[in-house]
Amino acid sequence: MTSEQQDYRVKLEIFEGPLDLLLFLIKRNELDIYDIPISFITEQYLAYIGMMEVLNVELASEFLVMAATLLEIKAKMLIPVEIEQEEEIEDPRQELTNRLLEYQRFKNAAIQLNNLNILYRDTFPKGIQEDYQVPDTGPLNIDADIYDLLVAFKSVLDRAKGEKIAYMTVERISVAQKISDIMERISIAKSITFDTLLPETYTKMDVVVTVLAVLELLRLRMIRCEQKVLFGPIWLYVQE
Amino acid sequence: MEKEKLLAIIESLIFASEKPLKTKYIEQVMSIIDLEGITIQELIEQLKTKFSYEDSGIELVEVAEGWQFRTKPAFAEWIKRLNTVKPFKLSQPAMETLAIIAYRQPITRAEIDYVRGVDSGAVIKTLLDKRLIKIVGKKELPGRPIVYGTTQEFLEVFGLKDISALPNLQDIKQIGSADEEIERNQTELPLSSPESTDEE
Repeated sequence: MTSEQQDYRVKLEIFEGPLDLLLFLIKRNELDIYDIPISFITEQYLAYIGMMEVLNVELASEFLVMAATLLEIKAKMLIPVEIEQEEEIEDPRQELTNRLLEYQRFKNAAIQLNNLNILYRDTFPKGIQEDYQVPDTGPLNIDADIYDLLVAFKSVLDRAKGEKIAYMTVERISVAQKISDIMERISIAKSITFDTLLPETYTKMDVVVTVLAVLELLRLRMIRCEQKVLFGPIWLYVQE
Repeated sequence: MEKEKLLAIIESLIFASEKPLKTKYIEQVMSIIDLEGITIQELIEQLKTKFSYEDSGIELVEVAEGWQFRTKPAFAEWIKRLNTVKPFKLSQPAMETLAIIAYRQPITRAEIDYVRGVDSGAVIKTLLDKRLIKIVGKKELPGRPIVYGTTQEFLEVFGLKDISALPNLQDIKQIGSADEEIERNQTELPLSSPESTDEE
């Protein structure tokens, strides 16, 4: 990154926290929450944290506390347990498992709340004001979340891995430039997929700049992000 | 008096009321009529059934311990086309925090933070601003921390009769591959024991 870009930080409040990230990793890797392979999950967790650092996403301190906790549990698991001891030894993962389950329950509860008929979303009482303006937009789809973006980011990064080494001068493009590129394209096309934002051959740098630009536009609510099917293309729309 | 007429009176009372109308007020208004053994509650239920069956765009719902006519969810997109009301929207973190408060109230900020694993200050402020939660008192703990609970508005927004009408937490089945385990272990995770989250 050029020196001016190094100061660039993305502040995202969409990140829910370390528990959310862990649940995401457990679900994505189809792990058993009652028998978490701590070594594997720690590695994955640190990889994602690293990825967010590459993106200069400002991480809440809780993410780092959790990283330390995972490493601590991992260390405890390595200590051999003396079999002679009569009293039951608690699994070092127990507290984490409990917290994850508890958090998952409330995540589900939030989904259930969200499925209720909510006032001013699904149902309306009388008393609508008079200045009607009929819009021409269709019904909205479900928004893609930050993890969908991260997964998309990871898959393009993986694709970029096999690139052959050749030396040439690369035109550096700044995040600001990319933002105006995206806005220009999106304002003409109204909607574009995330994939098409990248040039035909691209470097890691291109991906990073593109993701940063998209995150920034999302934060400024200038665009809206949708993923219609799981792992499908991510569509970007102009925020109306 | 004919039953149809009694139903019509109740209908007019609920229609004219801006906030959900409590059954007891309907009873007070209609106390001068001899109901011949039928209760107001029964009449309201009949009125509710009447609206649910008819080709009507509105329905009668019991919210926040009162009765209110609301549009049927099937027509929400049409009302949104009027574009006059800002549609209700809560972010995912706000919805989660609200769920924790709703099911665990009264609850302190530290307890919420522990469940979510992340600082909840900003989200709590949003929920307070939207009047979905309020400060309900202080807990007998060192420092006497503030405890939060849900409001009347919360019940109105989510169309709940009272707090006991919240969807049952134990009906939830979902977490990757570990569905059955969750069900099996539910008894070990009591619904309301704030003490268990007091470690921080």
